Amino acid sequence: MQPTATSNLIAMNVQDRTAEIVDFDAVIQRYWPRVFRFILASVRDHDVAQTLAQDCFFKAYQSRARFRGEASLQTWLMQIAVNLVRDRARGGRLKFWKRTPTVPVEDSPLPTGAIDPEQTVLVKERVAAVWDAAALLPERQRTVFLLRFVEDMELLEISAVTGLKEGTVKVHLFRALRRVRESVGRSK
Amino acid sequence: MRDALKEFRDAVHREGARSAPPSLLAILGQPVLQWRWAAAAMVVIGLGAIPAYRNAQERQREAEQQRADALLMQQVNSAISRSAPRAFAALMGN
Repeated sequence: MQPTATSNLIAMNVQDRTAEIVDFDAVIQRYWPRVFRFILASVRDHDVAQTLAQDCFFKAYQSRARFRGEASLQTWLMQIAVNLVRDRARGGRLKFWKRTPTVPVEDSPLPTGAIDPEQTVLVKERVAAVWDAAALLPERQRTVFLLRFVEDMELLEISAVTGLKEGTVKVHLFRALRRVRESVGRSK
Repeated sequence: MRDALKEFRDAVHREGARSAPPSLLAILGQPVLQWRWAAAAMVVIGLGAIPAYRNAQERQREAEQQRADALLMQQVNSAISRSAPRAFAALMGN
C-alpha cells in the first residue's frame, strides 16, 4: 500500500515528537512551567508542587524509551503529572500526619501599580474563593477544571491527558463550573 | 464569574512563574541521594553482620572441637575397658 499524504504527515509528527525527547534538558525548560503550574494549582503548596514536578520529569526521563510519540510530549508529561497529583491525593488521605499547610493565596504576587489597593484586595479575595472552591471539587472535576481554566486546554486535549471520553470531560467541566460558581457566589 | 476565572488563572500563572525549571542533573540528583542512603544503609547492615558471622563461625568451631573430644574420649574409654592388654589376648584365648 502506498503511503498517503496523511500517513506521511502522521509519521513525520511521530518522528518530531520522539526526536524532541532526545534533548531532555530542553524538554524540562520548555514544559516545566506548564507541568509545575498545573501541579501547583492542584496541591496549592510550592514545595509539594516542586517535588511532584521533579518526580514528573524524573519518571518521564526514566521511561523516555517507551515514548512512541502517539501523543504530544506535552500530553504525555501532563498525563504523568495528573497521575502524580491523583496518587498524592489518595495517599494523603491516609497520611494525615504528613499534611503540610498550604501556601496562602494572599502570598501570590499580584501586579503592582496597575490596580489600586482596594481592587487588589478584591482580586485576591476572588482568586482565593475560586481556589478554595476548586480544592473542594472531586478529583476528576478538579483536574478537568484546572486543565481548562488554568492551562486553557481544549476538551480534546483534556480527554487525551485524563483518558476520559470527550463527553465525560464536558460533563465534569459543567459540574465543576456550576459548583465553583455556587461557591464563589456564596463567598461574595 | 468570567473575571474571577481569569484572575484565578493569572494568579496561578504568576505563582508558577516563581519556580525556575531545574536542570536534568538536579532532577536526577535527588534519586541519586536516595541511592546513597540505600548504599549507606547496606554498609551499616554489612558491618552489623560481620560480628554475627564471626560468632556463628566460633560456635561451629566449638561444636566440632566438642565432637572430636567426645570421639577421643570414646576411643580412650573403649581401650581402658579392655579386660586384658592386647599382648595377652592370645594367651587368654580371645
